[in-house]
Amino acid sequence: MQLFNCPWCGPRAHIEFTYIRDHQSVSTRGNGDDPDVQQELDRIYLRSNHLGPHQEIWQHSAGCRGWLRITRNNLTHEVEDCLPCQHGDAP
Amino acid sequence: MSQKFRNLTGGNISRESPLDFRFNGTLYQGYQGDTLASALLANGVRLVGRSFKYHRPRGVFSAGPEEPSALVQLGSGPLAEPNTRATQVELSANLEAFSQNCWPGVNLDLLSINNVFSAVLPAGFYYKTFMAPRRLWPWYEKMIRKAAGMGTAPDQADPDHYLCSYAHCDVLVVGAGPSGLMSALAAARTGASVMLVDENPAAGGWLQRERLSMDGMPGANWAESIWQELTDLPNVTVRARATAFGYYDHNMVAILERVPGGNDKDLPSQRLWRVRAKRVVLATGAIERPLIFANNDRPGVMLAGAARAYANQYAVRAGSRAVVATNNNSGYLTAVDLADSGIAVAAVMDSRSSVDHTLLGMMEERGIPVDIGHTVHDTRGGKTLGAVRSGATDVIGGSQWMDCDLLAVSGGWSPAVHLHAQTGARPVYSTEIEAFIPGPSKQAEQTIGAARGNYDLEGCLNEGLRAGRQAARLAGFDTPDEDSLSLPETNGETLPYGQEAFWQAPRPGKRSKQFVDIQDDVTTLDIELAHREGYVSVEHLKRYTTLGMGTDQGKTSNINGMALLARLRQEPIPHVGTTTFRPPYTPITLGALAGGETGASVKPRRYTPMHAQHQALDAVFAPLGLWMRPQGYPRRGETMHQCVQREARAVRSAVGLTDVSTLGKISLRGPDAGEFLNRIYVNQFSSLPTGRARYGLMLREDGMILDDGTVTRLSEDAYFMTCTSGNASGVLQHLEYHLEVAWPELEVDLCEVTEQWAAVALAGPLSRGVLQRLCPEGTVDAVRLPAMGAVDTTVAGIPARIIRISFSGELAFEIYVPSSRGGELWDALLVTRDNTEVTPYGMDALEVLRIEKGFIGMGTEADGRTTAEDLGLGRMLSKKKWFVGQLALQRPGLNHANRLKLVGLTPVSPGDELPEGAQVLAQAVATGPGCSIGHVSSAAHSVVLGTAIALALVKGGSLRSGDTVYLADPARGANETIAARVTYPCFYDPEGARQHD
Ligand SMILES: [Zn+2]
Repeated sequence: MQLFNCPWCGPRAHIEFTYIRDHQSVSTRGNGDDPDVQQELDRIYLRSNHLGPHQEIWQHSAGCRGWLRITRNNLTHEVEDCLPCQHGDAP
Repeated sequence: MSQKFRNLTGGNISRESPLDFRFNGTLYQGYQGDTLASALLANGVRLVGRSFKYHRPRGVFSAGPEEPSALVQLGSGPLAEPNTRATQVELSANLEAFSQNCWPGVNLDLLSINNVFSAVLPAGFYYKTFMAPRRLWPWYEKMIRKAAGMGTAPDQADPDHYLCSYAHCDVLVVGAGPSGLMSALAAARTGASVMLVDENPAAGGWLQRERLSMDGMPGANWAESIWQELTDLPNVTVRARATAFGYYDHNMVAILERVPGGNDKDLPSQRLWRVRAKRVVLATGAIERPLIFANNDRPGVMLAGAARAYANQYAVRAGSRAVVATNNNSGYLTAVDLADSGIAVAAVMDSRSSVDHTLLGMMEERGIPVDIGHTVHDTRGGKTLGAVRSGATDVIGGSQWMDCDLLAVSGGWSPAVHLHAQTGARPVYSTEIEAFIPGPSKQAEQTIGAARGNYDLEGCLNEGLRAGRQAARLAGFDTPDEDSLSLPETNGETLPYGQEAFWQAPRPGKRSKQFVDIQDDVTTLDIELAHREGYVSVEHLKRYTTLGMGTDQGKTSNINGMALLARLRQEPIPHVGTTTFRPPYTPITLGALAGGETGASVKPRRYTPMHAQHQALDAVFAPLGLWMRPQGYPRRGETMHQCVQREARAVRSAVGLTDVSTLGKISLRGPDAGEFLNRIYVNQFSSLPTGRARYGLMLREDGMILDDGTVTRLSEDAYFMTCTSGNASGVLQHLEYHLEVAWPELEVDLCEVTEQWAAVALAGPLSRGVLQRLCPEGTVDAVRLPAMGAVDTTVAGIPARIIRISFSGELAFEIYVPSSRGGELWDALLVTRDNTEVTPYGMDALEVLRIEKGFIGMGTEADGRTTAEDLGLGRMLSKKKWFVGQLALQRPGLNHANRLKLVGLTPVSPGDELPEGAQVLAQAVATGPGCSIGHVSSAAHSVVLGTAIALALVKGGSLRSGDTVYLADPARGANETIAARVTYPCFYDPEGARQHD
């Protein structure tokens, strides 16, 4: 069982965390600026699935409920980075 | 009862505590301190089971976790535990054990016919033979499973209970042999918190099995004294009978502890520990390898170290007349200990070409002949060993038969690198000891002692001391003065290891069975065949021959198998490599992994603040997610159907009361709360006036409906949201995500308040009258509290929020009060001052009322595949603003004419029921797969129509209004379809006059 280093709580077992989504799929658009349907659908459905470090959004759901941007190597499962996901962290 | 093979003195057993036990129904006696294996051997029981594939007789082969053949079933009925290693089962009073893999019995096994036909059962036999014809495979499979059995799983629930615990420590030491004990002691002296575990009931490891003196006492006693010292230290936890079976990420080691509880029902039978350690010291010892020669599997053939363990630890003679075959010096110690325990040692066969003269001297002293450059070629005997044939290592066909009933074999020792390798580290091959030793560590771990290939006692003690200090230092504990701990004085016979690889004796006959893997019946012929057929990778060899795939995971066979493959490939062993080491080290009970999380304890249960009131009314409860919620309140003599109809009718004609405390409730505050809601819901919220509520629909990013609910505006920047009970946590996460990750610029705070509020719905034409008498004058009249109005007031003196919203289609009020006063509210509403009868109603009546009105249900109509348009809610989609899921709705597929859309259904014959989940067909008879045009999503028996009604998702939707469709429900055994008419999906008061009155 891996430990994730929650920036607010410190190292915690990964069962306290919930995977939410791929960081590539995050949209920070909050209104109707220049809506391009195809771009939107690509964001939702067509993400690249490359080998190696991968940015993911997780929530410390059974802890502080904070939101994290985790860099996880999908080849080794190693979590290389665990940062708060807040202002300006969008792709 | 005689223990013919037990010596009168010696051993670490309690002769004053005899224990009766049964094996295959026969009563025997052993002693406290025995294993089942040692007790069987003490009673002269040599035939323990039959082998997996050929059903050959098998006996005790080892004295530890590596046991490949003495597998027994313990107990019977629901307590039965199959595939248990007799060598690790502690003898206990009235223990019952049974042989496996034999039918009808171990002495007469009819399935041993497989042995006679073994020529047609080579590796890969099942794959090749039973390929065709395919239709016979089920029959083949049944027969193969019967013949190639590995015990029988119990078919009843396990009555034992198990516990899971977490623990943390600075230093975890696995193995309490000399290295581990020294290591734990050294680490403990620094003040670090230390955990020491060992799979055996007593500490000492091989010290239990040797005849060494340490600090002037027997090795086992020294081990016991250190164990005791550690037990007494406040910073140390020791656990005996605890097997570290898995090494996981970030230094988490899983340990299974067997709890000797006797008849104490409060104790778990096993405890699973998940230990997170800063540093781990692995002192897991080494496992002896057998030698490979023909018929090396007969009961009586045993690892040399095991024969020695039975003699020294258990005072049991594993035979009367022994031959020792070895490729290293430890075999001579076995010969000495066997001779000293009263076994006639007929000869030592040493495959090496030269031997140290001190060894020869030891043998000469005891009159034991030594054959240098010789080994065992073959054995004979019936159900046990009768004689061995020996000869030169390089000549086919040994020359000499020698009578014996015990053959002690040693093919060298393999470090137990299992846990080390589970970390992802790669063991490396040492040509010095011809075995895999630990490679560079992948975690905060160090492997020491025999597990590192160090087979010298003093060396092990030294290494343990240093490793313990180092582990503590790396965990942040400074080492105290170096002299505070000294090594014990040891004396006794110790010899250098001196092994010389000898992998396979000459095969006497073309088809002679030289077993490599005794548990899986894999022979040298199988490995040669696999190699010939191209299975030259060790991973392929494993799967093709099943080498090492048994419950012992090849602890005694893998290295030998790899060595043979390397020779066939004409490559060095490291080029062949090892197979992957995976947890668990030894088999573990699934119940232990589940721990206490079984039955009703799998998930927590949630009860509403009015639970006691429902119980007092004899409610029938049903789960709703984690909640327990009343399904209905049946009266005496009433069926559930009658009850639900009565409750629903009461709401339509008078007034009913239902508990809606399970609704998800979220409080939102902040200047941007209105904007936030505008983005989250498909409809407009910033325009909602204070003191008003609105029904809202939220979508996922892909445009599908996520949830519905209401939002009430409490003030300029405060809103109160409710969502579907079952969706509450998902909706909260959806909101948190958008607020924290997507739009952190919005100034909104949200807080889940589901458990802070108790809530009821009071519904029906008489509801206002009932409520009015409990509220301040005029609070709930039609003008001051119109439909979708909200007010904070008091009800029966309790501070309350009333929202005039209806999910039944009747005039209705949702009343929210602090959780602690929920019961009080319920009582006040139910017992009215003017004797109006208020009928409590449950989830089923609620469902009838919902379906009559055609309101969508989450999970039924909104099933994650439907859009607002599909469910007739397209008009809610705001065109003036952007919202989550808006763009995705433009996908052509979501606007296709053939999409499933919401319709109503009524039966053509008024008496017919409309089955929920039934497929909708356009014709009366199903014409084959794919002819379905939809399905029934919700169904009920309407109290206003007196017939069945249903909501359905059907291709074309309202275009089919008036059509007759046919409902097929073959999965529930209905042979004929039911005719139904497509209607508008609202069966009652479609204008909504009643709820807006
Ligand atoms: Zn946290």
